Amino acid sequence: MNVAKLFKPREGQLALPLALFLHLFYVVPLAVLLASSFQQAAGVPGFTLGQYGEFFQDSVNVKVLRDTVFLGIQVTIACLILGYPVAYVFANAPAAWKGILTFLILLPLLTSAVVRTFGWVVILGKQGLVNTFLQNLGLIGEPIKLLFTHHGVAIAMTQIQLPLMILPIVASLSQVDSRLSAASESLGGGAWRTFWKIIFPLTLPGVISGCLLVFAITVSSFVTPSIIGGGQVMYMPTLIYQQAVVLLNGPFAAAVSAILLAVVLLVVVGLSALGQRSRAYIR
Amino acid sequence: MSNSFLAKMSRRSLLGAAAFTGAGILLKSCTNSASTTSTSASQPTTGGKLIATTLPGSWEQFNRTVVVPKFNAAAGAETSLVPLVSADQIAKLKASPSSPPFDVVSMDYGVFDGAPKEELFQKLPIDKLKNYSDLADRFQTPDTWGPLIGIQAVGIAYNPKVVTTPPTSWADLWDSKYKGRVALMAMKNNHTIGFMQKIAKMNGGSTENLDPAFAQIEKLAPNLAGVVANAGALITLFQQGEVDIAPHDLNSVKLLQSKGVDIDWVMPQEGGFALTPTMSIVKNPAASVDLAAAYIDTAISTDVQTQMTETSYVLPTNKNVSIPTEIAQKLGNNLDEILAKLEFLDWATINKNRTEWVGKFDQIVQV
Repeated sequence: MNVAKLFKPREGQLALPLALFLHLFYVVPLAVLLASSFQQAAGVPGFTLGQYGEFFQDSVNVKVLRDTVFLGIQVTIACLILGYPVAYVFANAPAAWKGILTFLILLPLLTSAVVRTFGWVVILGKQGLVNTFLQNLGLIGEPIKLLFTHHGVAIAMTQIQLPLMILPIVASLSQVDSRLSAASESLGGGAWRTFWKIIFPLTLPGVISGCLLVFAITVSSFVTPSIIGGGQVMYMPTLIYQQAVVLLNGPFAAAVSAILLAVVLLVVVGLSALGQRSRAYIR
Repeated sequence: MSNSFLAKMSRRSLLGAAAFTGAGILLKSCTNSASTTSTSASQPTTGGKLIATTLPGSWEQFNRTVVVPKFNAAAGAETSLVPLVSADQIAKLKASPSSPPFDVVSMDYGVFDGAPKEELFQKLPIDKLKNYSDLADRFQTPDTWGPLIGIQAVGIAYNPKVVTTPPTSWADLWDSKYKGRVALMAMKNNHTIGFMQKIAKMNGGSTENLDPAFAQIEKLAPNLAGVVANAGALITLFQQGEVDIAPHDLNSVKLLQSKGVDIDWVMPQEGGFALTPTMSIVKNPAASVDLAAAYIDTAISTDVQTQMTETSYVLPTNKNVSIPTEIAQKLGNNLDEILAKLEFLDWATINKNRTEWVGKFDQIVQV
């Protein structure tokens, strides 16, 4: 046998260290997790769908799932609407400004999510910035309840996830050939039409990967929903933590995790399919 | 072996081979590590290292500044503290019961009691503790997993700037003048478990029957500003002036007071309840059992318990500690008088029903 041939580099082999790492520390634990979600109780062998049945029979749990997906969609759309213009400004900014803008965009990522979340507690409170501002303007008489509501969580999450939407869009905007918009203009296309017909479709891959990142991270984030939402609005990660760590109900927590994973996968597959189609459009 | 083969041994293939061997050694060491730690566990260590957990916050501060230095000096040991909330300590122990990440745990007894104790902990070797007989009689039990190291008295915390007449009863939380100013921790917190027990018993329920308390929680809705995730989040709300009244423990309130927050604490006329941190030795400690026992012994010594009572306002379990005036004003002059006002919860019953109760509570408070 030729040893040299065995170690001849191929592209795939370069990913081997990561593949090994992921198999050991991700795939194997994931398999254990899935296996335990089919247990009757922790440590009891056997196969049952009971944990899943229990989840879907309880309307509280189903509401938690619905709220989580809804939160994911809300935050993704909000990030897209707020993030795209920022990315557009960034891509068209003079080079000297880009450094400062990069810093500003990345700034939220440089502080811990816990710190930012407690910041939001101060901002969203009844005597917080938002309510004081609106009251002083005379727009509202009574302070609005934002803390411990779904809307509060959505607002805070949007700010926290925003960089994850902006960065992929910036990347794909910077790949768009600037001569395309010049060509469109010379052919009589207005700025608005040029954007919707040329620029936006070309940046769809960036938009889709941004949406993927934001959605997946939002539905699985723990700190912000549990602190801003408190005990009154619950999401899947809080439910998993409560079942696994506080109530020591491992198999049920595993089942909830599997359901969350399935939801994320569904969205990933859906958005990827969309991404494929958008790429076809570009070519 | 031909020369042509050697010539083919390029730098890359050599690197590849080296990486392969390296990975092999790494993998082998993975399987070995478990057996090496278990042999070191069976050897008694003299002096040596000890890893102890502590509850975070004021407990960590106290353990770091008082218990650990005292113990290190006395036993010639080197102690690392790991701050973790009770449930996370159990989770970490359950993940590797044969080589646990700590030697001594310090956690809330309510959580401790619900854990699989036989798998994770060992009974306390009382004969190795010099100070065990100094514990108040009711805290001395012959066949114990570990002593209670303090008592946190839970009553009503309020903002004296807004609530000028201090509340007198748990029922005051339902008073319409506190509309939108009451906070509760989520039911997964033992503070709320105890609160619900108290409310149930005031309304014709019992330890097993919390239904009257759940009915009351539904009525609390207009007053409820929020249900917070944990004690830390509750503190933020008080600091922000977001809420004015909530069930909380004396020691946390005193800590906030010392930081200049407008907060005070009162024991309701129906009496409060006790949350009791306990210490226990894990089943397969890396340190010697003697060392672990000595650490627990330090924590219950008269000296440490006196400092704990005076600086942290956690009530002592050691009977030789005299009650400082500030606590005496609120609770009573001696330990017996104070303990008579505090209910010690029946955790065995609570833990049997915990899952069901937490689910029910969440269902009621969901918005």
